[in-house]
Amino acid sequence: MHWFESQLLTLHQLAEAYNFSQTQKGNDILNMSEQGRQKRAAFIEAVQALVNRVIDSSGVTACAAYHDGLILAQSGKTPDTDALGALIQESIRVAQKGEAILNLGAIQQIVIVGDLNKIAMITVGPITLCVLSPKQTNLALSLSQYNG
Amino acid sequence: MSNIQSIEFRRSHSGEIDSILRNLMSLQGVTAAAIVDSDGLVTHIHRDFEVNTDALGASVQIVFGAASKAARHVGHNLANIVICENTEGYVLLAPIEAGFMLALVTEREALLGRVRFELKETIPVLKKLFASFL
Amino acid sequence: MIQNNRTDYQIAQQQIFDSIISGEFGIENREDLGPMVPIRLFQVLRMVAMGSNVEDMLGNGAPALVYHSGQGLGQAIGQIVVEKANKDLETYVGKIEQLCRHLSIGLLVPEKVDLSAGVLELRVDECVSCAGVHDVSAPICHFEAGMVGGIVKTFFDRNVRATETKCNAVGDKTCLIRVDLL
Repeated sequence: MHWFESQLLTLHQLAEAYNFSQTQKGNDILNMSEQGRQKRAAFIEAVQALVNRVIDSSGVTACAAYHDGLILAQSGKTPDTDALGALIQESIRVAQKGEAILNLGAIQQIVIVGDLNKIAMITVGPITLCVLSPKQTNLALSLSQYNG
Repeated sequence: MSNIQSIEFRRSHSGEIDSILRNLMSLQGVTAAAIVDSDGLVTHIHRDFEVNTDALGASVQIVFGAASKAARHVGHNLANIVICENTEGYVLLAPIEAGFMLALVTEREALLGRVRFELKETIPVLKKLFASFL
Repeated sequence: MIQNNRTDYQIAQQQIFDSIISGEFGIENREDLGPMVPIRLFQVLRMVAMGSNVEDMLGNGAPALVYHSGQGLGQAIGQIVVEKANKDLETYVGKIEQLCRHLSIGLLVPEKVDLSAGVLELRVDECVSCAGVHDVSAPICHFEAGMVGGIVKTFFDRNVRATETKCNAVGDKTCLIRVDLL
């Protein structure tokens, strides 16, 4: 497993742990409130840390994380963040239609390649991670090890 | 079961509410986090700047009330979050329980998705706290 | 409209407050009808224009708006009186009582003053807003609650919570407003 994959796995685990904490039932509201806050902070801080580190990979121009189409974390030269959020939501909506038609399963990644640049969108729990780079960047190779 | 709670119980809940507001204040760009009761009185507040709490509290209830009415007029049922996008930042409002509201004030540099995510995740916890508190 | 950074409403407000401060109730352009209006007309403004109509637009936000408006008036009245009261609560309340009677807002009666507990209770008999109104399910004099809150807030220069605990319109025969100093 390369570097970025291992980072994503950690994020998935943290998202799962937070999700699990939210489904816990009981009367100890104070403890549950604090635990939920800690798990959420652990997940979001890990998202922010990954976004900050991905930008160090060669060829990556920007990295951002979105929730419901709204910016949550960013590094590098993100273009119009609102427009990018709208693009992500629209892309996921279209992909979800494909999921139903083609029996793809839950959408994990979407990649859009243009003449000049490309964008990879990766779903992690409630968050969508976006990595932007020039078209010729081999993202798999570039993200295989941490270059910070 | 009696709905009369001990002072210690209320104090611990109030302490947790303060922790929640402190956590919200730690987000990038958040400059005020307040809880407002149904009359528009600010019951809890953490802030980085001077603010007229009476005017803030009344405005929170008025704006959310108007937004809720608008939501009903267009068949959207309940308003969950109201976001005001201003020249210098955002104001986010969300209902808690029994007319209580959570209000967040941010600078323009705040990451809206980050603040909204935290707000959305915090509201169910506050609902539980207030349901047992009131 | 805004003139010199003041809206038209603010300009009108200033003229009305100046008239109240001066104690001059004669009013221009009302030579025939005079300065008084039927209480029901006031109640139309209070319970319809600032009540059900505002509620239509603001839903649960309406009481907060009405309370805030009353608080604004209370603070304005308080400012008028506080300078003449020499920081004496009894004198202050006495002058407020006179002003409220003079303006026919109601007969203000202090019921309880417990400063160590930070609690004051003020009765408003013959409340201008709810006199002749019956059968409501909960106190509706948010304006008066806000006004009393504003009056107390001005004197103590502290935030307050004012709550109407009894209301004539509910069937309590009088309105009682509890003010907690925060």
